[in-house]
Amino acid sequence: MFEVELISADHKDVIHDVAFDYYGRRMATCSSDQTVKVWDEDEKGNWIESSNWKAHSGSIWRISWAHPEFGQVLVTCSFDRTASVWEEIVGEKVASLSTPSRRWVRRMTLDDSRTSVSDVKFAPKYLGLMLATTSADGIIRIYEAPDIMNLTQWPVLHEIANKLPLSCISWNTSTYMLSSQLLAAGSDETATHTGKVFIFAYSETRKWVKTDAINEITQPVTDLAFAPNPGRTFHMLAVASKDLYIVNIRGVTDASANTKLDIQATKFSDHNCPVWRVCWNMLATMLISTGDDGCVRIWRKNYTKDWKCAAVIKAEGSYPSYEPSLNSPVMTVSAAATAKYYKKGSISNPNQVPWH
Amino acid sequence: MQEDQPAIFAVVDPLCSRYANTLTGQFVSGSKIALSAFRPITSNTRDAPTESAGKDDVLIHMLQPEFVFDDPILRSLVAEANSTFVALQELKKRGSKAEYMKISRTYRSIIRACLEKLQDAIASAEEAEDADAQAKYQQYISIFYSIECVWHLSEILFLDPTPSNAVVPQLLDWIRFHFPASERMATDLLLLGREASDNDDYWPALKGLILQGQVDVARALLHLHPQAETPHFKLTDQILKTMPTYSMHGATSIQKFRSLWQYWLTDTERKISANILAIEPNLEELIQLVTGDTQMWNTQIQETEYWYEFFPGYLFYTNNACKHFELGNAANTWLSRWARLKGHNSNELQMKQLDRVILSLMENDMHQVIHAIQLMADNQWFVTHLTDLLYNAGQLQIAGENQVNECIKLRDSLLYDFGSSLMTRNSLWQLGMDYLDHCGQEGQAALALLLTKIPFRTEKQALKIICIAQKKGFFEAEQDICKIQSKKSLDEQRYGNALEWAIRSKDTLYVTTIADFLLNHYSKTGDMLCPDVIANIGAKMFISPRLVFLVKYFDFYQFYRKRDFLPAAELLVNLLESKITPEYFWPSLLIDSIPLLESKDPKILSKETCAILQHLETELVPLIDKKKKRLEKYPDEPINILKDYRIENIEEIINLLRLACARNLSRAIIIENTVMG
Repeated sequence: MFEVELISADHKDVIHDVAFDYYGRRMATCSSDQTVKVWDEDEKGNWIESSNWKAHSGSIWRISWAHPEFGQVLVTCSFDRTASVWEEIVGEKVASLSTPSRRWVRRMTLDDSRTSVSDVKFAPKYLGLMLATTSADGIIRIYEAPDIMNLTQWPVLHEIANKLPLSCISWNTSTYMLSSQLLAAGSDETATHTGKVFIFAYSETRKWVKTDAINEITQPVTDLAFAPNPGRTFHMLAVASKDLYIVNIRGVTDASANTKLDIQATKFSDHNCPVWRVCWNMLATMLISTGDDGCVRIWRKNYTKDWKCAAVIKAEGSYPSYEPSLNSPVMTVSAAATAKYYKKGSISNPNQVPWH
Repeated sequence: MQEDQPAIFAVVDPLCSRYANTLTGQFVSGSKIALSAFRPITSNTRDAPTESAGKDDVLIHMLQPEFVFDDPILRSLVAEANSTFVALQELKKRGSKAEYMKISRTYRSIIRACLEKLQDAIASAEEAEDADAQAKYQQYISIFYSIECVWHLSEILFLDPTPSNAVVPQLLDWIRFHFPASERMATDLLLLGREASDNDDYWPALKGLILQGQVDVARALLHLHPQAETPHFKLTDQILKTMPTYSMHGATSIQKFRSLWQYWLTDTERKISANILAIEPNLEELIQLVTGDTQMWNTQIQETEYWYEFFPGYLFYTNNACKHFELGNAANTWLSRWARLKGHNSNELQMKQLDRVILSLMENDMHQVIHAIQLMADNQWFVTHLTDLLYNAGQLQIAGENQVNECIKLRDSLLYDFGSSLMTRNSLWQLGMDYLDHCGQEGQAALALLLTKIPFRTEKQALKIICIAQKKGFFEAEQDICKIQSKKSLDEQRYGNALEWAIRSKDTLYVTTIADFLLNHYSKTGDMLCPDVIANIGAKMFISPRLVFLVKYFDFYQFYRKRDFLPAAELLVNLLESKITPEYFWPSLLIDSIPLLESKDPKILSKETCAILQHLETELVPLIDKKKKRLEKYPDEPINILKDYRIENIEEIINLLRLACARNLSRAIIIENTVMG
């Protein structure tokens, strides 16, 4: 059974990205309507819009939260060839009891790209306040705020040029058993049949070096994500391409004491159609993949460490007639499609067999 | 297998089906997910408003798997079971059978207490005419009733084996608890005494007792009959009394028992076929049941709803010494007989989940049992606790090449999932910790991570989490929370708090950042932000050289304000010499020396005055030149050190300083030489 809460986002066009803060209590959405909205979950579990502003002069593709030790900081990237860093500032208290007003201000526009900025991600916090962007011209840029109290300074630390246009980027979340920090980027270029996922390592000479391309994945890649890593001995990268891939990466040392990566990709074809997005849960025991067929699939790792699709959620365009088909019982949620307010309902699990 | 197909759910969202759109999902926290319509984008997508712009509603669906433990009654079940779980872990797999039995019974009594509370809740919901609550509690009862039933049977089969391995007497206990009707009737009738036999329930109760193998109670009831002294009743009593029973403790050998039984059975059957009891059909029926008469039992079977209802009773009269390993076969034989008589085609037998689990248990198919009980809508409470108990008692047996290893993995993964699901729930996170604490390295890592993910709103909550992190030795988690709290305070302009939290984090870099912030603010405004906190830092200042500088500078600032100029001057000179002055602070520090230098009676000696002059020329002047050059190149950069809140122009500062030094030097030299002379 699921409890469902429906939120009318009130964006004027499709949402391209939804991001949650470290605790899952704040939500940021960005859209083709060129605006960003920030939502807060109240004590009763309702999501209330707390801010919205026009952030770019083109569609906003991606949004990402910084770790809370850097404050309330967002970064967005857009078709308008820029990425922007936003910080929420607390205004003066009006009265002693009232909560102070908060608003988001643009701290920096990162305008080095000459093409659409396709993805932006903050680095894991042990690297400091750092972020990476990818753009359609194939360049990865890494920026850092050297003074975390002053977010108006974001010098470019590195530029990594690639031959193929890039669609997505992800930082590895730990360096366990590895000699360096890893960064993965994917390309959605369709003409060539070479590997579309690239792994970069931060070398001892303080440069980012492309160490590997995952040759199994030659189809366009639209999203990838390193899994959070609490206590695992290897690293996992989920890749959305023509199929879903889960790539296990291990650092190995060969006879001459050189470290290199042992990369093993497993393909999951359950979607039977291209996969657009991937998202891990916080312990990397579950994964959501977005198919092209109007379905998301939820994957679970079982106790033998194998991944299995545990549930499928599909979108219905309209209310079903009163003949529920056997293998897709439609939820009993009563939210009208035009509802402006959230409604609560529940979906029942068809596999839940009666116990009595 | 049907269960292995993923479950399919549907959400209604028209925007998902427009053009080439689809549905996408994100994890929120725990197992909560957010779904929304998604438009595929590639790096050569052109930017234009979509055809649905402004037409279809843009929706976000928040989905959360139902969580039963938000209910107060079930919450107390989780809490009580948690302490039993902890007690079980303390046995460290070396407990005695009696100790594991005690744990198992404690779990079960917690469930039973919970069932009673749920019954009361239904009653009060009925009174309040709250149909939703009634249905909810009814559902919980059916879940936890099933759990108790399966747990009880597991306890009998796996934790409480008799020395002889015979299971029948315990199965009778189990069935008596779960089908208590006859026993209840019998209790009422026994209270009626001599009038019992007039009651309509008298014979049904007797038959029910016999069907459940409760021979002694049945005899007691027979004694109440007014005709108890007649030959027929006496004969019946005699038959029941002489019925041999197989001792659980294996006092009689099985061969001896079988021959005794056979003798008794032949004798009894002979009596029945001689029609001795024909004039008392009620009594004859009872005896026919006791002898396992096929026809008689078949008639009874047709009246049952559950396949296992009369199974233990039948075993009692036909295979009293049945051992655990024989139970699976016996159960299957009985089940097909039951299905045939009930008119089910055994291939299509629609068994309910509970029926199936009971069969799997009797077949000793733990793999199937664990698989099935995971589907209970109890958020994995039962499967986690039962598996863990069996594992601890050394009774968990599942198929697999590497058995022992598999069992540990299974048990650990259940604990991991259950613990982490509790930890991502606001009010239950402390209970969840105990489960993660007992499932190895990965559990510890998850615990450290999830601890930092608990959304704390107040300082008190933060301190509580930190206290736990300290106990567990999660240094990083503790540090994270302190830094987050520090940044939060800073944003809220509670600077003293921010500094205290930063110091608590013991992160040198972070403390330096905050100290920098305070010094910077001071050098720009002349306003010391949190004097009380700085004054009380004490030895903790050594965490960061910058903090040492801040504290020492603050001491100077205090002396100066109290017009205690001599120690102020001494401190200032020390600071200038300290080599820990941050670049940006040089102008401020040197400007501070001007009034001391200009004092009519010199506060600074000639040697030290020279030193100040030296710092001016070797530190500040090059710094200014560097900054000016940089500004030529990057005119947009903030001018920082070229400006002070006291004196606008840096050139003026340098001139003033040089002059002050010269004047003080002359005064100091005169006085020093005079005194010396």
